[in-house]
Amino acid sequence: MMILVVDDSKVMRKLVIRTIRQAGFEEAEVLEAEDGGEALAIARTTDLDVVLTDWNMPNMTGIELLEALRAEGNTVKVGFVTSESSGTIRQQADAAGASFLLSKPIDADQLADALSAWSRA
Amino acid sequence: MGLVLESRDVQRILRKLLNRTVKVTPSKESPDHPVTRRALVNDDDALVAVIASDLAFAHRSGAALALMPAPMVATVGDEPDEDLVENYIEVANVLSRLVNEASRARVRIDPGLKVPPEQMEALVSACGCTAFHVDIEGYGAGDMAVYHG
Repeated sequence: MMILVVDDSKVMRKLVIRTIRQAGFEEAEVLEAEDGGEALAIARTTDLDVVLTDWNMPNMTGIELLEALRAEGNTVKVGFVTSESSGTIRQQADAAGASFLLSKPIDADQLADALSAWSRA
Repeated sequence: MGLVLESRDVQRILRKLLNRTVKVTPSKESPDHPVTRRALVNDDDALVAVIASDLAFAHRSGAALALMPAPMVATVGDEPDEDLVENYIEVANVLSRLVNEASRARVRIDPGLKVPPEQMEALVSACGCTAFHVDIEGYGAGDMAVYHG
């Protein structure tokens, strides 16, 4: 499995990657990007299984990344891991085709449930 | 903006974020080291609150988030450590959920640092704060606060 973790905070990327491992995905190959633009560039050249992205980032936000991926015909699964938690944001994520939205802080069980539900879908 | 912020909610978020025991109690301090101030803004990018802390909380929470060895924090001293403060900003970012949940409005840390420092200063000076004493297992204690009208 190839997972791309997108967050402008290095420490949060490390935390998400640690949680991916704790969630049982020890064998997953994990790439990192620090904003939506960098993530989009990686997605154009890499066969990703899932993108885990923050919402608020400089240059290109997480929702802009999702919209750009879909506009290019890229159907990779996208899940948000963000401090955002409002209903409006969840609706916006759903409408854009996000697979899930997890509000920080997350734990391994939450991420395992989200990724398992996705992999069964 | 009459926010009601509870110790138990701060404790719940920090325990999960830092994955360790965290004890949170109300504080009568007004922690406000300048490097720790971050504006919380609404969808119109208007300032609604300021989150801040003392340097002890910034350093200790930042170290705990990164799983840095706790003894290293003791060597940092009284000057702001850039890496630890950067990590603390992520702790503050996650703690902004407190204001979201209490106000039922979308509030986030000012992503572009567009709010002028003097505007934050005015809010901190004019408004009360809800402050908490936070003891992080293995790292020690510090104080943080949310300043709001």
